[in-house]
Amino acid sequence: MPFLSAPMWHSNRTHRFRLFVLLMGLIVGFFACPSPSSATEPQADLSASISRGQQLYQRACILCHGKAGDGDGPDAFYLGAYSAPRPRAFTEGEYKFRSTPSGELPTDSDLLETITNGIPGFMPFFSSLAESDRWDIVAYIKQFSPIFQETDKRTPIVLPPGPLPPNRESINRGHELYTLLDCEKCHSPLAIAPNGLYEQGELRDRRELDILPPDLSKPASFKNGHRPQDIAQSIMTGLDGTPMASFRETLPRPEDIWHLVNYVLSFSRPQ
Amino acid sequence: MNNSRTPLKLFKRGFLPVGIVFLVSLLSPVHAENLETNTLRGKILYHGAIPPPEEHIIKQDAEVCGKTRQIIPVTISQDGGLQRAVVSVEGMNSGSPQKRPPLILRNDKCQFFPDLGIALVKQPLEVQNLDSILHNTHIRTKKRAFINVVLLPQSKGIKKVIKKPGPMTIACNKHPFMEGFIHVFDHPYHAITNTQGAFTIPNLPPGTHTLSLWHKTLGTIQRTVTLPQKDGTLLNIEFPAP
Ligand code: HEC
Ligand code: HEC
Repeated sequence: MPFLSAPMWHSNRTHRFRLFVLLMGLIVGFFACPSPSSATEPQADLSASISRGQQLYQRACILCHGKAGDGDGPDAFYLGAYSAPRPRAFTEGEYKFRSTPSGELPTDSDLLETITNGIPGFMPFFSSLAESDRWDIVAYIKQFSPIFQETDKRTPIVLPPGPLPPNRESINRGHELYTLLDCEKCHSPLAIAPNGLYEQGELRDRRELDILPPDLSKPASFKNGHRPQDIAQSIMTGLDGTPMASFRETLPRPEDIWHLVNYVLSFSRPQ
Repeated sequence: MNNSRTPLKLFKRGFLPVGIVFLVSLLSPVHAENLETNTLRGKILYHGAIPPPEEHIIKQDAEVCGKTRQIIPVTISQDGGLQRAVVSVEGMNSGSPQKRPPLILRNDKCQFFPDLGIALVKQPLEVQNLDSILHNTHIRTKKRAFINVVLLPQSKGIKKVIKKPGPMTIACNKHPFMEGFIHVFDHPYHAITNTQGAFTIPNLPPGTHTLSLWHKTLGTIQRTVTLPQKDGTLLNIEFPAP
């Protein structure tokens, strides 16, 4: 029974990552403290910012993301060379956590947010670095692909007014949408579809590596955050490079996004 | 004032016929002595092994998609002409192409139409779903997603402007047997080979050009060609086995 192996695999990995992240946190913390943080405007001098960003990157990110920004740092091996997700290859210019539509680049603030909050289970958070340092790193990682320079605007999507109160009515509508939009084919129960549409190994990421949808009853594991607006954003924009598509243009009514979010959050709330 | 000389009458009497002759001459092949010589005519041939068709058993949505689906890797004509190869001339950026109506990509009975399409930079792509089931159109360039979007049954109007030249692949996250390809160019010098493997690319400047040839199974190769071609010659290009 494939779905029995799924949660075990999950917890094993989570454990390994926790250890790893703890270690990384220590290392980063150690280096981050004495770092001379400049209080100047983040974009005041781009090339100075990039070279400061490079120094920080070499201390804090290089082990996973690699010298060339191709996601192939020495520690990337321990993250599981043959399982998703691999550390992002900045050279390819594809990002999961964006406020922008499917297929677009993230905004600078999106990148800053990822660096600040980390990715639960996969990447340490760097909120201990001064904000100006984090902006410098943003400026530096954008250099790995010409695509940021070639792209003139990166416009965030606008969420409809909300969130809406998670009452029975809203959750019921959310449930309807969850079925209508096939969310359950990937997300339930235990991440393996009940009707066997997606068997283990059938869902692949951009590198053709197996990727598991998260257990939606554990919002703390959501990579892109678990506040209602974070979840709304993930569903609206999709996670590029994975089978998790964007639903912004799919939802029958704009406010439906909040019903869907309320339903997703109801998995982790006592009924 | 001479009434018979109103601009309209002048136009009708003299300019209209002249204008028509001028317009026709622009369009007609008579004008195009050197167009004719700078038209590249060719044929792509393939004599390598032909992989067997891929057979897919359809588990999901068989009532709309059918129970099985065959994907044909390579199709050739009797004399080895390779069908559905994309031929284009490299290094031909012609500035900003004109506005074009959207390229419509339909999901119809779990197939993409067109499943081999050509688009120009700045042209919008509109994805439509004619089926009574959900589809999930996932279009990718070599490195990144162009769009990954779920389509409700019978829905239209998901549009996105194509910004970059290059090949794109189309897949459906829900139906792995659906496949399609779009090639994006920033110039008009391209063609898809016909059932005989033949193609024509008109209006090329004289000189030596690099041709890029793409086929979904056989890959991409390059060849050079010098224009004008000698009268009546057809450029034959053999596509090597992968
Ligand atoms: C412990 C290894 C590790 C370290 C250290 C690390 N990362 Fe990551 N990072 C990852 C992994 C793994 C992913 C991919 C997660 C996924 O795809 O779900 C990632 C993804 C990212 C992304 C992509 C987010 C998106 O939207 O797709 C950015 C940006 C990023 N990291 C920046 C950084 C920066 C900057 C640093 C240093 C300050 C850093 N990372 C340090 C492992 C690491
Ligand atoms: C084709 C399979 C598929 C479908 C359909 C699908 N998802 Fe996902 N979803 C995924 C995968 C795979 C991931 C994990 C991506 C990753 O970790 O990089 C994911 C991640 C998520 C996340 C977590 C995002 C985060 O921050 O980590 C949420 C929330 C989510 N999906 C909700 C939904 C909802 C709601 C629907 C229906 C509207 C849906 N999904 C439909 C495959 C799918």
